Amino acid sequence: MTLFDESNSPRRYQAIVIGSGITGGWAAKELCEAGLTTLVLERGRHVEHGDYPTASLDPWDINDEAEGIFKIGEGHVAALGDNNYTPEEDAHYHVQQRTGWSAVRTSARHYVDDLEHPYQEAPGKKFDWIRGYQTGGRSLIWGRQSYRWAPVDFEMNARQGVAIDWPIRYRDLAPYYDKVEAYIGVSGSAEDRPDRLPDGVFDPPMEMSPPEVAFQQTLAREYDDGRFATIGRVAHLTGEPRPGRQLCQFRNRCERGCPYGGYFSSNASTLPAADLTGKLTLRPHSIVKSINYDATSGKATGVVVIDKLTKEEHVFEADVIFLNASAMASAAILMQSGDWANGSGQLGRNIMDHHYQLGAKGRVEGLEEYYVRGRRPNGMYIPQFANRKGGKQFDNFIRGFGYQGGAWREGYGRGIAELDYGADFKKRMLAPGPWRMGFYGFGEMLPDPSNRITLSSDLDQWGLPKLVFDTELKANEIAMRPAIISEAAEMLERAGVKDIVEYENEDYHVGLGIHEMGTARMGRDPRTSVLDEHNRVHAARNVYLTDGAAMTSSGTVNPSLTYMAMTVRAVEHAVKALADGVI
Amino acid sequence: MNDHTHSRRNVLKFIGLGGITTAVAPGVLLQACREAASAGPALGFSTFNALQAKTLGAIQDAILPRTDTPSATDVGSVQFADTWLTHGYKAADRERFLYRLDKFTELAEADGADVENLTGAQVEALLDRYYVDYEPIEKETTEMEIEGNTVERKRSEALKEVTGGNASDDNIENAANEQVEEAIQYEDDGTEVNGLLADVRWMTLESYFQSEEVGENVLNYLEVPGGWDGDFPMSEVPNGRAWSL
Repeated sequence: MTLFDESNSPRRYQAIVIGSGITGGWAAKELCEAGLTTLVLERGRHVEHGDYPTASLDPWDINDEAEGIFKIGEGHVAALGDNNYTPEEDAHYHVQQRTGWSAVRTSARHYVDDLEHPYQEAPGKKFDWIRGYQTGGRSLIWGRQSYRWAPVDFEMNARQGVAIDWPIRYRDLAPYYDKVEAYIGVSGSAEDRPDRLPDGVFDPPMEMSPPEVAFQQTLAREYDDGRFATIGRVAHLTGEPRPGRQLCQFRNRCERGCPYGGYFSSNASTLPAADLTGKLTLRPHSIVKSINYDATSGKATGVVVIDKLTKEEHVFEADVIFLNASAMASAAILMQSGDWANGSGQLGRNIMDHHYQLGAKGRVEGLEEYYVRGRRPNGMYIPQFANRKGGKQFDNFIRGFGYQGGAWREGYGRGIAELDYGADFKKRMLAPGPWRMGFYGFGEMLPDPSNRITLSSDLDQWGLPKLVFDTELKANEIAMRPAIISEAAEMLERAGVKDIVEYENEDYHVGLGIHEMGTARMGRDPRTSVLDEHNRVHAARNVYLTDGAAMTSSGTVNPSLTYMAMTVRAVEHAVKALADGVI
Repeated sequence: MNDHTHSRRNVLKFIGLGGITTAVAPGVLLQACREAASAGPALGFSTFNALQAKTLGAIQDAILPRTDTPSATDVGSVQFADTWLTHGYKAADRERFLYRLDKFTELAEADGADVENLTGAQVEALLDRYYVDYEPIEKETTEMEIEGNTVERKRSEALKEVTGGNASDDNIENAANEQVEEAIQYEDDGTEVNGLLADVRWMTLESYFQSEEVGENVLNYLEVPGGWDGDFPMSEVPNGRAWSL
């Protein structure tokens, strides 16, 4: 990767991209391939593809060999495994670990240290802000689930009078979905249900297990509201290798970084492609303080950067600027830049997430003649049926929810809750346990201007204001949650699953879904939105924002694919506007 | 609340203690030192004394005894517990664990056992007595399919206590190291031993199934699967055992 060189690299570029995560990587690739000299600013350290030192550690290796990777304090931590933390480790990653699966010992290097990067919450409110500050950002640790929005998702705000209308429709994004899927590789199965979950350009699907196949058949047989299950659509290569990337090896150690490039990340894919053009310069340790704006021309002129290590300020100039710093940080950068981006008063407001960590699970009888081979980094998906046309209607909430889940054979963990001991117990624990199956929901969250971030007067160590989060689930989300649980339980029951347990993480707070979005929404009217229909800041015709901040509503599907498609579309617009001399 | 308050309180407490020791006769102090030394960790351990290591190993081998496959202690279960107690437990929890372990030893001794050489039968007699009506303590164990990963994990309770559940508290680093000063209130022996067995059970299974010997040579080890088969026949799985990873 071509890294910034203090003595030789220029201070002026044709384009600047703020952030190297899943959308920043795409912006860099598209801008560079269009021939623009591009500076990518990354606030964290540089991670070159392949520099994943924990990628191949087995549980028993996670001791001395991992010592330099996740050693905190003076104690010699040996053989604690991936999931057992010392109180000191808990403190450093107390937010990042809240999902229950993130920032374990082998992946913590891809998450922020919570003590180094604090934020604040309004009295009585909580927000779980899970972040990755390094080259590639959270593209190294994302869930990789990749679904298109349904056409109706773009229309519901207008139909129901919620917030404002989206300025774009499904057809505006469709060709860019095609392009992104073909490039990143999305393993999935076409279902021909364009009203509920449009098909995409797919790599071959991953096989379902026998209980999953039976469950899929149950839904088709038992329900007349059009609900269906499909294998998860996931950004892993299962067909043809892509440049610099090999096929998924089914190790399921994705969050540590994949040395095979089996899943899509900026590091493995878009950034190397951008670098190949000779147009890319990447500057790590570059915390963006603000964007310089010239009110006379209605354009931004450059970006003010604080070097993370030296704390010195630098200014870089460009003709066009792409903000891809993540939903919260991109809005914060605009807020730190003055009032020019906030003519609507909506900047920093309308924070959404997908409220989750609730559902049902149980025991599958029989089928024990089947096991699996390999570790599938994927599950099943049940797209939204609630309140869809032809779907089950609920009168106590609008919008709906989707489910992820699947079936697995239990491991030795089942032995912890029992009382048995001795030779027979050990023999039983050495064999795979019974099949279990479960599904958990992702509920749509409505945009509400009172869910917002503001800038604190309290500064971080770089002299920048800490963010203050004032977010909570509102009435519609709270009304939806019991239905997410009961529908999951009912589907499992109809599929013959036994000992069904309904569960809900009552410690869910906005942000934990790690689908936070909405702080700089798109719209047609500068008086009610921050971005126009091309993801361009209304007040600055050369500043584009294409990460989750741009979202006008949240839908129910995992959002990254949509962010990537929006990015490619916006770059196309920017390149043409530059060529036409419009910006 | 300011964490520095706690630090200062700890310092003051130490100074107070120093004041007391200077007032104690030298002979008494020496005796106290000897007792402290004999109660210190055994060679190779950071927390357990020799008897504690023996008792714990006897319980662990009752749970997972040696057969045609290794026992718990064969693959280092006591060492794992020692590491975990030393680094993963807060001081008060560690103290309680050791109290419970000593209590178990006491109960075995009351049964007439030679506690230096506990037999499997003697441990099992105690397991049967104290474990039958035992309801597993609800730990923060989750098993669920999240983002395509089957997650089975146990979180130390320290987290919430450390942060007070408040992410906006910037000053929790020192709080993490804060020593609990209040005296521990112990329950009756049965409750305490049940608590011990719950902890030991988890540590034993975790250390056994996460060990290299079991992971590579007992269970079926597939480091790089290279592909995925969703309906692999059990009949083709060697020994009918689980995959280790």
